[in-house]
Amino acid sequence: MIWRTALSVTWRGDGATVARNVVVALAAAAVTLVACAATSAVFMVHGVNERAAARAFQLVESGETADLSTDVTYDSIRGEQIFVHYWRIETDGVMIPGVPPDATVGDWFVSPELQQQIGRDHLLAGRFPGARIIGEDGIGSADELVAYRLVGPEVDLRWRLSNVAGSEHIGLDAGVTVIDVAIGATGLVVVFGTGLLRAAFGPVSTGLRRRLALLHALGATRAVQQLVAAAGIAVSAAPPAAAAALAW
Amino acid sequence: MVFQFGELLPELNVAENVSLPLRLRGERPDDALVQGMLEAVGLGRPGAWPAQLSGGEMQRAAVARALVTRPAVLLCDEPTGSLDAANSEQVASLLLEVARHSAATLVVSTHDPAVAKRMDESWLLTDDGLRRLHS
Repeated sequence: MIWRTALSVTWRGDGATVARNVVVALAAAAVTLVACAATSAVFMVHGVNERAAARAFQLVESGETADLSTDVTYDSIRGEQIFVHYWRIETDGVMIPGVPPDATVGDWFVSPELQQQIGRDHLLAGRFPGARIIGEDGIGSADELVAYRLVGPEVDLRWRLSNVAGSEHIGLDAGVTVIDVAIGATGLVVVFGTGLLRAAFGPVSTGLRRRLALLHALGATRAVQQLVAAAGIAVSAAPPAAAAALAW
Repeated sequence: MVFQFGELLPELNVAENVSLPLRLRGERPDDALVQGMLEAVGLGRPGAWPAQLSGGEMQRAAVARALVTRPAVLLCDEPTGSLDAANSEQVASLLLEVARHSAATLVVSTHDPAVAKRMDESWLLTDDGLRRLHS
């Protein structure tokens, strides 16, 4: 019976109630989109950091045993820089992040974005012949332009690395922590959501307030009044929120 | 409490409206009690919707709703204000009857002198204050 009353309050056809439902629906959809975006940002940064950690190495001093040797040069395509890393595996069983274990000397590997550019430019394809794609754990972000080539002992490489997480990154560091993004995202959702829901409860809620006043006069506790109000809001907000989540 | 326009909830039928104060208190309504209240106010259509009732019937249902919790004081805000003379007379009689029957104190605000005269005691509220009309 309480639920029926809540539904009735929500679905009354008077202008003020319709206006309120529209505001609540828009607020719910907007808050859901912001929440989805914020959640995605947190997961994205978390993924970027994890991948960055996987690509972090420790420089080793001369005389110490290195797992990998590397050097980097730069190429460019239409003004965009391509990081070209040359690698040599010094210890059996160690592999570069994103490169399959069957990789052999002379193989090229390129990031997904660079692979797409190669597909549109046959001259570029000639610079990275037979290139395979670097796995997700070997790239920092989807738009990164990176190429790897495995080389033999005849090539002199400047940097010697141990396969231990350290200060050296392949590609760019994430630069942002998950905590930073999570705090920012939560703040955005709270501020945005509160503002919009306050608007939804504002001057267009006369019908709801009148009904709650009647229920109060009939003996409804504050909890019951809040339940009726919340159920009414939920009925208006749930469909647009679900639609927004699906659209995202 | 009885309001001027009954204020029945349109989404609930008569019996549900009458039992609503009990439900709002978290009590499980006793069907016999609700039926008894409806009989006491002379309403024989517990399943009817408020939109199907006349003004007088709505006020009867509102009186039954106000009495279902067995209040010590029954407050009535212009209970006959929206009714024609015949219905006004019937509702006033009903209020007096049920108040006496349930031993509740009946407090009525009204603009209708005929209703005021039927009360045990009546006061006139003017800009100059309260003045006792009769007791």
